[in-house]
Amino acid sequence: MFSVLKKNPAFTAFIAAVILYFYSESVLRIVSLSTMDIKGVKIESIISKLPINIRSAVTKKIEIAELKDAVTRAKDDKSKVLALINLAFVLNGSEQEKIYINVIKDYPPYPEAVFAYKCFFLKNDPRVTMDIETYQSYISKCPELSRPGLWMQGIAVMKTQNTDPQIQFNFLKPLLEYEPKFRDYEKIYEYLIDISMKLQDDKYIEIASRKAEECVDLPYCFYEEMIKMAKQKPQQGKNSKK
Amino acid sequence: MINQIFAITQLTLIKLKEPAFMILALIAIGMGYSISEFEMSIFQQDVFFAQPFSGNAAGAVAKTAVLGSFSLIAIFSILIGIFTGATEIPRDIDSKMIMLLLGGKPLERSTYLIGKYLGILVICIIFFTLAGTAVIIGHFIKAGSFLGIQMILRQMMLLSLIFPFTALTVAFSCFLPEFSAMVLTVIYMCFSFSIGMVPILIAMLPKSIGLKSPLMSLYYFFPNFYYYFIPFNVPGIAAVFLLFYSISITVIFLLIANQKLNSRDMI
Repeated sequence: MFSVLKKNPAFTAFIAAVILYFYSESVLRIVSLSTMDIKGVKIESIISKLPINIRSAVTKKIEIAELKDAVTRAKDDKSKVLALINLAFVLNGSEQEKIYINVIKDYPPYPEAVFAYKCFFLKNDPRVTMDIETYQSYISKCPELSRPGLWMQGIAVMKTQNTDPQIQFNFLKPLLEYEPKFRDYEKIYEYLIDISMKLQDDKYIEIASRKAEECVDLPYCFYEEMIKMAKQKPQQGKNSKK
Repeated sequence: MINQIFAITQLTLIKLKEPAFMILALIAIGMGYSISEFEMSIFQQDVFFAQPFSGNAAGAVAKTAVLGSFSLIAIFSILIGIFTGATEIPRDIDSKMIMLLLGGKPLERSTYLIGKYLGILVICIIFFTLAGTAVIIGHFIKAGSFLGIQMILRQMMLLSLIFPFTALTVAFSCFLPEFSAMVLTVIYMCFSFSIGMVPILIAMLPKSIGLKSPLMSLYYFFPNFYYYFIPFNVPGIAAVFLLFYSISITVIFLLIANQKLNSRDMI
């Protein structure tokens, strides 16, 4: 090897220059990073300086990595589910489905996981069974305040899939025996009336209409949520002062 | 061989006697004087200059920053280097002047290359020195005080920026015609300015990101423009390694240029 270097001084000089380049660059990098206050710099401002063609790829990668870090940082199941769902949003089809399956199988049913349940709802996917009963059971395990939204998400899936009215009716049927607690159910009962009309079932039209009327005097979930939060805030303040 | 190199350098420096270069020298002096009080106002809007390198960390030894006026002078010097460097060798090839030099005299192509490089470098250094002196005098006239020795030394370290960028221009001019070399050098320079953000970006990136290796691989193909603007004291470890950095890049580009020039058909 040394004989090759001796015979070719230009090549030797090139190798030496490359070594010197890498070594001096690493020292200067350490010096420059120690000089600056990284915490004071916004990552977006650095990304905006990168060449346009690699900027979007870098932004996407950073977004995914930050969401992955959020999953690692999440301490309880609920925040982990939320972090996983947020991560799934930015990923493509197959990777997104993998995360959704993980959320459905490995975590308790939280309302935040609705996108995972919705993704497989009424799909004949061998990996996850998500029929009407499973989805109804998921809703029943979630807090009362989140349930109207979860029913609506189920209806939205059925609408996009043009599901048979009888199946839609079967999905919403438990609501006919349910005592609504929020105004948000009004829309769901109105939809149930439409479905019952399609099926020409007068008995259920009447029950659904009565339930829809009952909802008019009830509070919206949103207000209830606000009241709940308002009650929690002073308590949190007291805890933090302690 | 040294005499031959200096002969080629002198041949390049003949340009200095042209009226255009006299005007350029006057522009350098005028520009230096008028921007002598220019601190970092333009760069303060830039995240890289404004936030990371603007101040010294609490408790750390105070470091000397680069002045805005000298930064501008350095950038103008590089541009002059690009416009001169990109045209010298292609013009010699086109006008068959190179054949006269290499064929008529026992002159090696590498000698010719080094001579040309030094000639272009001297032109840039003259521009930088004239404008820099005008800045110092302008500062004395306007503010009533001289810049400190430490401050002047730090500003003079910007000269090391001219070495690699002139070599880069010369290297491109060995591969391409003059206009293409000029354009490609400017593009490459702009790209290296952008890519210089990579080390900071990597330091700030989330842990689970897998971008580090591809970004660093790309980064090593471009000189980091920003290293020349970090605050440090002269003499110091940063100053020494900045010189090493400049020398290494210069040698790499000149060797590439030499390789191309040696294998090029001049007829």
